Parts: sequence; structure tokens; C-alpha cells
Amino acid sequence: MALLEVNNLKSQFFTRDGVVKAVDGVSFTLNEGQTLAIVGESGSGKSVTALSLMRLIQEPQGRIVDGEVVLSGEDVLKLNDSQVRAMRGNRIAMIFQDPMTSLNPVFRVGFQIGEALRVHKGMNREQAAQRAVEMLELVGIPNAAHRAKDYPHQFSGGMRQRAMIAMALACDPDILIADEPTTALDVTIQAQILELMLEMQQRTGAAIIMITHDLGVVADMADDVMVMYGGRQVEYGTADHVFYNPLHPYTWGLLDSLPRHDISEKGELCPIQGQPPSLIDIPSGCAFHPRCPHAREICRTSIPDLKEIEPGHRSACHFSSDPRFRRTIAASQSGREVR
Amino acid sequence: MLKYVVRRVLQMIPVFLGVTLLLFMLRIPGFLPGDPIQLIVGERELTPALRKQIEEKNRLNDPLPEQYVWYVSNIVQGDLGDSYQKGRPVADILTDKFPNSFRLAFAAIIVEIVIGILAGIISAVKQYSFWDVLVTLSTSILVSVPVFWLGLLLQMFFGIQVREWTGGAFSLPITGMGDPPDLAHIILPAITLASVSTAYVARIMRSQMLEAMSQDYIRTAKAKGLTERVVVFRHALKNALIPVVTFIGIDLGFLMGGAILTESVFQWPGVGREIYLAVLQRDWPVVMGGVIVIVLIVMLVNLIVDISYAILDPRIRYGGAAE
Repeated sequence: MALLEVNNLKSQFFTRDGVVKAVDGVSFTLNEGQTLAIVGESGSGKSVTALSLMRLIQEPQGRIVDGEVVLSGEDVLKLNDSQVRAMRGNRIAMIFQDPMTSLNPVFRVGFQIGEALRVHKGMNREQAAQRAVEMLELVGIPNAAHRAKDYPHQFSGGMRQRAMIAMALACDPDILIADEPTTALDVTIQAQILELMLEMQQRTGAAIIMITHDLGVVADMADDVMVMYGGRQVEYGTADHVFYNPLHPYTWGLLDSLPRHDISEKGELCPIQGQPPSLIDIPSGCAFHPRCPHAREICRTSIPDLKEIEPGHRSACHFSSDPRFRRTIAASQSGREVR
Repeated sequence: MLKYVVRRVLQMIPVFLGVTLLLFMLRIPGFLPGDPIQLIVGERELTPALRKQIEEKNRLNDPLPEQYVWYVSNIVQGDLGDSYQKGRPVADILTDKFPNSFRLAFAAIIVEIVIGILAGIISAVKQYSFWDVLVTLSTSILVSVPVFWLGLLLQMFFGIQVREWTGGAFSLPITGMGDPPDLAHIILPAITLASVSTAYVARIMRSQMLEAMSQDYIRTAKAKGLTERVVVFRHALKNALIPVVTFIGIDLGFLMGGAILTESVFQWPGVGREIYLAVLQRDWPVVMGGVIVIVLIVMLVNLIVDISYAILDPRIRYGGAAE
């Protein structure tokens, strides 16, 4: 049995301007110790997917309207409030994008790490403080016993994100959700944080859901990759599948807009033309068709299903199963002149 | 922390000197209309000998800088001069009246803290509910009502109307303030004095709570699995309280300095009313002494506020040396 199974998850926000279909029918599975990357542009529904798993969507504007989130055989969406709290931070923990604002400025770092331990593990104040220091040591904060008494403003950005990781892993969760954990950090610090996450994963065996728009991060870390566009999944498969044999034109576009050192000639980047769609007014048919260079009439009228094209590799494009349409890694590497 | 306190205390000295300089100008002959010597003499006949005696006693013929040094050194030694009208030392008059002002300020600040903070929290936590609308509406009205009018209204309602309705069985006293006044007499002045500030506290509390609740660290706290109560009352409240404590502290300084309008409307025997009467009678030493003591109190309260602020908000500890 998979550790986490998400079926047809739909989350919507009811705003004055209309219903925002932030997540529109997302399904995936996650096994123990596995790393899944959720990739997509801003506003593709990545973060809302993650928040939905934690039941952290801001009510009453936001609601999970349909679907199942089955964690070890139990549907998270059917839990009552106290059961949800018992799950949060204990079985599923989360780290956020901006470590500058994600820690409470008026409490000591050690105290904030210890809070989850006191709630979930029944520790008293001293035990939690002791364990918080150990966690800080584990994530590589020097002089941890002393630094645990510091306030967040006395930490650098990278240290704060380390503290966030320590906080998230304190209760030894089954799943760690990382919502763009390196976006707000310097490049050198980014690499350190990713390395730390991998190291901690090996140590604790936690599964990771990594939300990112950085395909470099995905290539380094992910077992599976899910590509999202306009609140829907457009491609889902192993990292090898998605990188070496991408099936969806949007994924091609993402890969082409990446600077690569292995293509020396014609080193220009090919950004995807146009803007991501508004989630209030998603284009008819395939959400990507207004920006897709290969779009035909059917793309405007019918929403493509997420079909399994090869074992374990699914794509939501009307033409993914057409061999003439598919582009292989060979074509992609020999140049971008296919267009 | 100690260094911070010492520095803040040293900073008070120039403020104190500035205030004394301004007040000193009140006693320069010719600066204000009317002859101060005539005011001191009152109904008595002003003989040249008497004039000379008064001038010498008050050093009115010395050069101004010398007069100023004499004046400040007297203040530092606790001598605020004598009242023109009563002939008593101003320090004694103020010592008599300040406890009453403190009593009123203390009662008002309790109203302000309890009602203001509670109303603000309820209003923010139950945003757009009936209670939120009630708080928002009533605070809008309160901040725009003149204090003396509210005082008169309360006197009419609780002192007169309620007594008529209950056939004399129940009413709040509005006359016959003793010195010191008793507990029943303090209710209406305290509510009146606290009204505007309570409304401000409720509004600041509400907006600060709402702002805090939308911060990323609240999402982090929820993601840890903390209960809604802990998230609101620990993580949001401590952040939201910082500006509220500042406001209440500064307000406490002003309230202690005597509330001229409220004390006058209710005939409350405090410093505010004493200063008001002294202004009417051009009894300058009382006005000057009263103002100086009020300034000292405000400065002292501000110092305490700043220290408690540093305790609440670790980011400003050590006078901003961190970060």
C-alpha cells in the first residue's frame, strides 16, 4: 500500500471575482522514502495542492471540494479538527518558501522547534528544549545549545531554513512537504539546503514532496515528477521519463526555457510565449492550448485525459500517443529547431 | 539591557531642560499680560517696600540666565514656588491633588485594557460577525464624541434618568465628590476618561490581530498541529500586543498627567482641575509646577513602556544592536 494516495483532489477559492479552480483533479501516489517533485509556473496550483494535503487552505474562502487524500489507509479529508491537528507536524510536516517570515519573530528558535514535540510527543518543556537542541545540531547549526536561545532575527536566511527543517523533522514525520524551500535563498545556500534535505531523508526515511519551479532541483532530488499547469496535472512519471522522454508540449517548453551547458551552439533560451492562465477563467479544452505551438482544433474543444502512454508515464495531451508527434531526447538534444 | 536603560534615562535630561526653559518664559515680567507682582499682592495695597520684597524673594531683578539657573535648581530640589492665590507651596498643592488623578487614571486604564483588548480580540477572531460590527461601529462613534459631552450625557443618564426610572432605588452619584472620592464616584469619570482610548485600543488590537493572523508564521504554527487557541493567543497575540502596549503606555502617561476636561466636568479634585482653575486665576506657579510634574511623569511612563516593549519584542533589545 502506498504511503499517500491522492485521488482527484479539487480545491477551489470562492472570491468576489469568481471561483478560482486552483487545484482541478490532481491524483498521485507517494511511497515511503520516495521523493516526488511537483513542478510548474507560479499559479499552477502547486502550493495549493500541498496546503490541501495538510488541510491548511484558508477557510471559508478556500475549500477542498472533491477528492481523497489517503494517508496510510485513512482519508485525511474526512478527519475531524483534532485528528487533523494530530496529523499536522506529526505525520506530515511542511517547510515554507520564505524562512524570513515563516518563523515567529517573538519566540526563541528552540522554543518554536520544541512546540510540536510538546503537542505530539507529550514532552515537557525541558525535554522539548533538549530535543530542539539535538535537532539543531542535526541540521548543522554550530553551537546549537547556545543558538537555540536566539531569536529568528539573529539567524541568517540559510540558518533559518535549517531551523525550519529541524522544526519539520522534529516529530519524525512520514512525509515532509517542502514548498519552494530554496527560492528565497542565495544560490550557494540553496545547494547546502538541498544537500541537507537529502541527508535528512536518508537518516529519517521520510518521503518528500518537493514543490519547485526549479528543474535543476528536480533533477537532483526527485524520483517522480508531476508537472502542473492551470491547476491540472499535465505530465506524471519518473524523473528519467520526464527529463529524457517528455511527452507534453508544456514540459518541452519548460525544459527548453532552461539554460543548459550541454548545448553549446545556438545557446539562446526559448521561453514559453504568453502568460499562465487565470485560474478563474481557465481556457476551454486543454488549458495550455493558447500557448501551445502545436495546438489544433480538438485542443480548444476537449479537455485531454491524463493517459498512461508508457508504463508509469502519463501525459494529458491529445497527441502524446502519436509517435510522429513525440519528441525524443535525441531530437531535443540535437537542437531546438524541431519547431 | 542596563546600558539601554541608562542611555534612555540620560536622554531624559535635555527634554527636561527644554521644558523648564519654555516654562521659565512664563515668569519673565512682561511676557504674559498683567503684572505678576500685582497678582501676588492681590487686594493688598502695593507699597514700594512690598514690591521690593517680592522682587527680591523671586529674584526678578537678577539677569535672566541667573534667574533660570536659580529656577531650575529650585525645581531639582523639589521647590516649585508658592501659589499666588493660596500662598501655599505649589509642591504641597500638587501632592494633595495627584493621588486623586492617579486613582482616576488607574481606573480608566483598567477599563481601557480590559474592555479595549477584549473587544479587539473578539472583533478580529470573529471577523464580520455581529460582535465585530458592534465593536467597529461603537468605536467609530466613541472616538468622535467630545469627552465633556459624553461626561454630561452619562451624568444625565445614570445620575438622573436611571434614578427616575427605578424610583430612586438606583443611580450613580454625580455630585458630592469627597476628597478623596469613594469608589461609586469614580465609575462615571473613569468611563468617560477611558472612552476614546478604549475605542482606539480596540481598533488597534483588531487590526494588529488581523494582520498577525495573516502572517506566514501563523501558517507555520498551524502546520505544527497547534490548536487554534494556541495559535491565536500565543503566536498571534504576542505579536499583535506590541503596538497596543505602546499605545496604552503612552496613554497612561497622559491620563496620569490629569484629565482637564473630565476632571472639570465631574468636579474631580485632581491635578487637571487644579491646573484649569489656576489658568483661570492666572496662578502661574501652579500651572508651571503642575506642567513640570506632568512632564516628568510622562517621561517616566514612556521609559517604562520602552523597557516593556523591549521585553515583548526581542528585535529591539540592546537598542537595535542586533541584526
